[in-house]
Amino acid sequence: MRESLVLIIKVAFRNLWLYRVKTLVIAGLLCMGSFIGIVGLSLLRDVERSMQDSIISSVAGHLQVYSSKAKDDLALFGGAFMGRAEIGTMPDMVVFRELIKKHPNVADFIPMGSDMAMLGRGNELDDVLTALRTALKKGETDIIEQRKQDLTFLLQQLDRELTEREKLSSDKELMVRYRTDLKTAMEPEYLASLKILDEEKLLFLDTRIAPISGEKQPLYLMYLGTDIDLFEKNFSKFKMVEGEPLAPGQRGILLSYKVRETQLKAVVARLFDRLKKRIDRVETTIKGDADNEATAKDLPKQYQQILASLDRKESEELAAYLKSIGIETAEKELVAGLKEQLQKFLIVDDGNFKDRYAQFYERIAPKMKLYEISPGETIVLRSYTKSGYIKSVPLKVYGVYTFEGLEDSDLAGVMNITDLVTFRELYGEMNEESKKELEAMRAKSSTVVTTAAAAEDALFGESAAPTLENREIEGQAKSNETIQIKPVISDVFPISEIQNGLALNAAIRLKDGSKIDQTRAELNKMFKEAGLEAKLVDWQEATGIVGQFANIVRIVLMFALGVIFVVALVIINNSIIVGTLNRTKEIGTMRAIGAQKSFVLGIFLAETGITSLIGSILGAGLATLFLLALNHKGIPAPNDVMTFLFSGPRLYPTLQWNLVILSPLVISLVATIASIYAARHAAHVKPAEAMQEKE
Amino acid sequence: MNFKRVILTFLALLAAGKALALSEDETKKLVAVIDEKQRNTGDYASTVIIEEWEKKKDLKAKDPYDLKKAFEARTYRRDADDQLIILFSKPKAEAGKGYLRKEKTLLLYEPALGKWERQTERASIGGTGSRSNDFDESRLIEEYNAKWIGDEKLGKFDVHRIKLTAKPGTDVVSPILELWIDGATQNILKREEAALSGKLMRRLLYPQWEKMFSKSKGADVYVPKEIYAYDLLEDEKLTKVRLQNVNLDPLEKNMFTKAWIETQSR
Repeated sequence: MRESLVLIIKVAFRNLWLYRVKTLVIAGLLCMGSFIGIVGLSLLRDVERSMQDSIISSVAGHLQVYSSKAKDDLALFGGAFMGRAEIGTMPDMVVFRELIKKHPNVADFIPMGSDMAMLGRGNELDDVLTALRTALKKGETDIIEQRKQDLTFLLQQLDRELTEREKLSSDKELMVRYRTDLKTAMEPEYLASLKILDEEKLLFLDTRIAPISGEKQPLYLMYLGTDIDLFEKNFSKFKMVEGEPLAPGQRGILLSYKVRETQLKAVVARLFDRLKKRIDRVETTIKGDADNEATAKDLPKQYQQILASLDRKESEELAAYLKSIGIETAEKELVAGLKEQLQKFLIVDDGNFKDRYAQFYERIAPKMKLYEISPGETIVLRSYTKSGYIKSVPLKVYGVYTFEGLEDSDLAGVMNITDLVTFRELYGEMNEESKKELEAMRAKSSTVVTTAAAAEDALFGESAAPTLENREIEGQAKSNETIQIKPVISDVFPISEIQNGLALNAAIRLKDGSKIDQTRAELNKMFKEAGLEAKLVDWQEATGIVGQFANIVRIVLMFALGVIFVVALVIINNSIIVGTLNRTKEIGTMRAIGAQKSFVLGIFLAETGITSLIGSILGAGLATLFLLALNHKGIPAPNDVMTFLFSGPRLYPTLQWNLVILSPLVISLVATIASIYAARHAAHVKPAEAMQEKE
Repeated sequence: MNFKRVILTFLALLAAGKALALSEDETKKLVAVIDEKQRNTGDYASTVIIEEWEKKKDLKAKDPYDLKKAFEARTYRRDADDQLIILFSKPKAEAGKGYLRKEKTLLLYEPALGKWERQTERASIGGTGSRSNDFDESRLIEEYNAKWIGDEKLGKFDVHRIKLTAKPGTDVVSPILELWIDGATQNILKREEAALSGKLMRRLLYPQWEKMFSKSKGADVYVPKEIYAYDLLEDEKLTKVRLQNVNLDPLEKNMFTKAWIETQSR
């Protein structure tokens, strides 16, 4: 038995050498399959692990709970179609929290609610006019003069802008009106005489001049209302970058680092950042990279943004600095000259980018308002309530936060964080005081409340009241009587307000994350027993299509491996059958001198087994070396989605030893078993038939 | 006999119809009268109460609407200079918020921030279904071409129905309007606003008008006491506007300024 086994292996090796091209093809295919399988599955597992880490430690927790009456699925990072998902509400979170926290594996319950808000932006002229008005109110002579200079400078730029628009616009009447108004404002005595708070002049500039410059696009900000204290404790990736965190009971907002860098930062700085990031991280050059070339081409167009944010003194300083670094102009006039210099400065290539980037941030950026919103400022968030009305809430920006390692991620970093009380207000949920106020107004109302169809009959039918009332005397109240109003907007709230009341969803952190399925099943059972209308989803489901990414990648990978395997098996079987035909005489001879069918079968199976073992071991070896190299160097995230999936700017793959050992064994076994049919075909060659074959 | 009766009735109706039909000039005159009746050459002030009512999900409910929001504001107008102020006093959370309109530019003041923001003319007031032009001077004859549609009954009232189409190049909120005008008093009772496509956007009903003498005009001024505005695009959401304490005395000279509105919320 042992002797025939040794003989089979010897013959198999002899045949593999004899038919070495075929052997090489099959071994190569299986080597590739083994390599792709080990590398692919290792990377997939690493991505899954890092993605899980990103999601659980940033915003989702292990599980999310929301109303079972929800019309849409919860998608924390947005669904397939962005927009407001109807996920229902948890009108009183206390009931949910108390039940959920009874489970021994639940560490915490973090209430949440998220939506989109709008932010109006105005333009540079609005900003300067506001600053001028403030200075006039305070009577600060120096600052008034400075602001008037700023305004004159902006008006000169507007004059140029309008000249361009006049060439293009078909609305000649409007252009004439703009030109006339601008001419009035640019008369030297117009601004010169503005030494005290002349509201009429300022109103003219506000209503007739500032609108000429147009509006910036409104800004849309996603916001997440939560209990900030619980949020900080439970989401380990949360980190403050600038400013201070929201104290418990404090109304306010924390801007997302990503949002601030990509939406609130001056475009010119964003373009510099974009190039820098791609050059450093993805290790590309400007020339030859379509994306970088497009960004570099956009840069010189942004000179206007720099010009608009400078006053005359700063412009002179900048012009002198640009001259000192060799960027000169023949233009005598300051604005025209600086425009030319800036356009030249913003032309970047692989040779000058590093210097220009540093020069921009050292000398130009400090003179600009680099961010539209910064900590310490107050903004007004406007959002549609659940009923569709617009609600606005003023909020102080306390700081800028990020999720550690996910600074560049569009997905995790897109949310700005506010307190749950503000969220409720924007959502249209009234507090007790507002409810009482509304009730009082309701009691005074005489409205005939009916549907549009029935209203005409109710208001104009036979029973309708007379439609005209005579009032021969004029109103009793003096029309010039003023009303003193003190706005009541408190920036603090009692902690109890955030611990009770409405939330849309809540994150559940588990003590032991590996028991997620078991905990979910047990919690579901508890909801059912308590009759609570609650739905539970895990972190993967809660993140919508993002969470499904790993599954999609797994399917694609498995499909690719399957195709490689099927192709390899077809080739193996074909080569055995073709080999049988070629080797009929040899097989017949072996059979004639007493070789059993099992011996012949053994030779063919051994050939396949040895080929696939060598190929797949080679593949596993290469995969090991490749993964070790990647582990050392890391895979750079080419874009922001990948940053999120990698849980940072680079993924450092880990070697899965079980995959390295098991893959060659499984591949060889499957290939050998799959070749049984063809080998049996070879074993059935009859000696007599083989002998009849011609030479 | 019966046939003769039918013919006579038909002819009588035709004659009556012809008698009621308005020519192009008569229609224009009627629209001009509407503007003139509401026009006040001097200043104007009133208290306005805006209520937002939303349809209940239970259509069989005795009271089909819920009050979702209510505001109280003072409005001030100086039509000669094309200026308007709307200053909120209730609820507390909105108090001090003010709109200042000068010609086509509408500015909004946020007292909590002490900041002003430019709004579009179409911006709804306080996020309700009412718009700044609801409180503004009537300029129908300047902005629209009018066409008589027919005479009909609106409840117990005989009304003229008139269609108005915006004049080319005029910047108006609604390009198409239809008005139902009380034949007896020549006050608007119903107004429908449509988009260019003809899709109905809002229906406004004016069940009560108030007549008062204006010294500056030397004639009566007609002011709607109540406006019911149904948003026909959004589930018939109802905005009810009530105007109270209308006063036509001259206002302070420098009232239509940012500074004046700012001082109101100090």
